[in-house]
Amino acid sequence: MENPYVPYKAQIVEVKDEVKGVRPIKTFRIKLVDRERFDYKSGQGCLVSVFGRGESWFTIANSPTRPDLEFSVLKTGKVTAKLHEMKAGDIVGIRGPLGRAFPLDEWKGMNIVTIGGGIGQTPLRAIYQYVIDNEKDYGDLTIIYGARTSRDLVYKDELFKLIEEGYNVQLSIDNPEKDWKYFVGFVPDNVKRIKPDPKNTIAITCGPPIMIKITLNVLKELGFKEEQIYTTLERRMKCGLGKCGKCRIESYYVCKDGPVFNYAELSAMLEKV
Amino acid sequence: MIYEGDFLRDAISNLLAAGYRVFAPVKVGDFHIFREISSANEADFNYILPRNSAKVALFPQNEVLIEYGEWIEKIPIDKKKIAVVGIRACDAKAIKLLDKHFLEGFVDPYYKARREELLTIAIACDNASINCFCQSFGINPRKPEADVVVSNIDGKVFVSANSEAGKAFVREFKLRGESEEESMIRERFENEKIEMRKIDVDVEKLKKSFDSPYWKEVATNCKSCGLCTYLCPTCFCFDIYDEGERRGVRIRAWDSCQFPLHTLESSSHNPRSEKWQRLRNRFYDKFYYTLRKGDYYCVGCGRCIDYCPAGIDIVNVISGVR
Repeated sequence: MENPYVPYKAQIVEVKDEVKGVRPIKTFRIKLVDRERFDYKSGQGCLVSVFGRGESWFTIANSPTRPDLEFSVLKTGKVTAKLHEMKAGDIVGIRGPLGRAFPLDEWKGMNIVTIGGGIGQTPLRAIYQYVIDNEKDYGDLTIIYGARTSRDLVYKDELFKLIEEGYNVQLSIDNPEKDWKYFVGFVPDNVKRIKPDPKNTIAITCGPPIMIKITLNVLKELGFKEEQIYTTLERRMKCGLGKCGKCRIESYYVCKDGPVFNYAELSAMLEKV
Repeated sequence: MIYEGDFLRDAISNLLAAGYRVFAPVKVGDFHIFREISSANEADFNYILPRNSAKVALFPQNEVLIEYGEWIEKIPIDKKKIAVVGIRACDAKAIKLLDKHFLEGFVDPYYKARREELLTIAIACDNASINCFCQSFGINPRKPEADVVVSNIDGKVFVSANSEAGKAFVREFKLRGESEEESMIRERFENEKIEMRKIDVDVEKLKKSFDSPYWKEVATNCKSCGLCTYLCPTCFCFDIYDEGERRGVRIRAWDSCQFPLHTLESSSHNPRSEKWQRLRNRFYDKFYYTLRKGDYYCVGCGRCIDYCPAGIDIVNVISGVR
């Protein structure tokens, strides 16, 4: 990146409706125009640029072992509203890959538990896809994921297919629904029920702040040490380069030094996340 | 070396003739501001400290990053040479701190283009303003770290060049060598402390006081106006936004950690929604967070004290942490 503020030209190749309704989520599959995809690692993000509206940070939703770049976008502001109007063939800008990734190489030989809530499943998907594609390098994989209702679950088709294939996927919704075969209750309660074994295990959690907070307590009760727990943080971001100061916590820029943090790093900070 | 004449004004004339963009203090009403000038007559050097800092020359309040239509049309990086004339030791040190921020890690190409072509001409202080405290940070106000330094001592104009660029620049001036006595006078001048305020930074105490109710007290009268951050020569936060839906410009503009919108996320979560959290952030940023990278991001210029509408005084706040 000669000028890191200038995006690569990219084209939307597919748009998938994940969630409909008042808080819609779409997943965009994007290809760079006139160049190969850059190397990246699970957990890194990009700034997606729509000229006239601005830029927004999204974690890359697919593992680098899969083709193209995927971003799951909750319609919530100026940029995301415009993105939700866009179709296959439309042009966007991409700046990335940005930030610190999950240390998946360090986790080789270990069991992986992902604990997600709502659209917080996005970075976790980049992990479980990677672990599935490199199955022999890792121990057991447990995917724990929940949303408010069954309609709010993202990557439904993929997750149900994984269940069919025999993967350990534990879904939940907050309130009972007709025909729902899985757990009913909050995500941390599902973790409490499943009781993942902390031995030789890494737990990664991402979701609404309150879910993360309670999940951390549950994991600690189960015997997980802070060093075994990872999360990825959300902050307002503009430059993505550790310059504009918006995403800063202490001396860390979430865009550059994060968004992936170990829980031990977070609890050493004065400013609590 | 000694110059017989008005060095600063002659320097500006030379710089303008050589095609430099020149930033110098201009008298506006009863105060001075740094701004771009087009003739040496516009500058006025009768001040202790201009109201704003010289950071405007390197990091303008607004600048266009990208011009776009359907796609990117132009990336306007200005390669014109820049000179800042008449800065003090505090602002000279602040430029070094901005360098660290903008040039380490990802290199900011807009800042770099200006910085590479920057010539700094400083004036040594011979007294302090009521809120100066630069000496607390080991800055010598009588010996600024700049390419060229001008010291007015006993009616004589002493000029020293401290870099290759500075040496090349002063070569065009008729400077005479100093007599032994003049050198002694200059050295005595440079080594004499100036009477000024002192700040007492206790990092350990800061670490322990993060959750203290002190910060709410300090922020009682704060207006969250962000003036402190705008006048601060080391504050660097900015926003990026697009102007124009189909055709327009992507702009970077100064932002402030004192504004609630600075950190407001689209989910409506705001990590620093209270004004005392934002004010505390500024003080910890200056004296603790940036310290992990080796520096306090305060140079003791005192501007934030001079102009705070709520009378918040960084020296008292930091010295009185509990």
